[in-house]
Amino acid sequence: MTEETAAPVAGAMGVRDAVTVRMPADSAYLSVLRTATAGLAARLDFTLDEIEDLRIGVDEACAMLLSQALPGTDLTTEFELNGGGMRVAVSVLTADGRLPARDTFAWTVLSALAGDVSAHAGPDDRVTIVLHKHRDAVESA
Amino acid sequence: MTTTAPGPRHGQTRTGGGPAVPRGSTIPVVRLHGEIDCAVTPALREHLFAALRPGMKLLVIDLSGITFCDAAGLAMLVGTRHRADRLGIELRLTGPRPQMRGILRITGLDRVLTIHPTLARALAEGTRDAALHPGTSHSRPR
Repeated sequence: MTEETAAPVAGAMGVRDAVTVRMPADSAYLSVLRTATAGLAARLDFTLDEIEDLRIGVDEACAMLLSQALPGTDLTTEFELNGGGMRVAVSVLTADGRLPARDTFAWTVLSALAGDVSAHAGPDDRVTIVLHKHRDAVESA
Repeated sequence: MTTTAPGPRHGQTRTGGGPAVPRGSTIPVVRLHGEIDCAVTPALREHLFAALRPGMKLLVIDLSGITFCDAAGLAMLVGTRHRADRLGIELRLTGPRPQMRGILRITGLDRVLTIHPTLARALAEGTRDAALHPGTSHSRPR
């Protein structure tokens, strides 16, 4: 994991640079996901601070969802890297499709650090949190 | 970067001769290391609660070895603070790294919790009790 190299994230013809990580919905795997997040973010021109923000954001989103995931199911994280930044969608199957509470430390941290954040529930009670972290450094350059 | 759970180490640190701390007494310091997330907070909370012993005046938690902390870790610290308050124990946190300082600031907890930049500073100040009643010291931490 280097700090300054940024590999091309999208080839010609608009090939999606997308990675899906599926792991047991168990907090023991959170550290693995943080590491994956940092590695993928390093492929873009994110600053070290922004990479750290993403790491925390993904961690918080997952931690919120893990608390309501059905036992024995998976936590799915989809990373999509594009020119503007990184979009991360984290989801779990739940019993009731309840959206995460927003009056928590976790949501406060998530919304402050992870850029645009939203949450939605699907018809199968799969709850998804989507983060979209933009590359501020590039936009302001 | 580590995948190991942080293991609390309970240490004893002699006071640096702070003005209000009786010479020769000790201030208990808990040093935390590694990454704190919701996978480790249940066990860590138990360790911290166990470190709060009735009769002690002050407990210092050294955060300088924490390389990552999320909201679950903050909630654990707040819970420890509440527990300490109930027992009449002052809780001081020291040395959070930039990542942790950031989320303490975002959540406003930097204004709620007592945080010192360094362990030395946390130890140098007298105890709250001693400051309120200068010159008296009824019970020594054991």
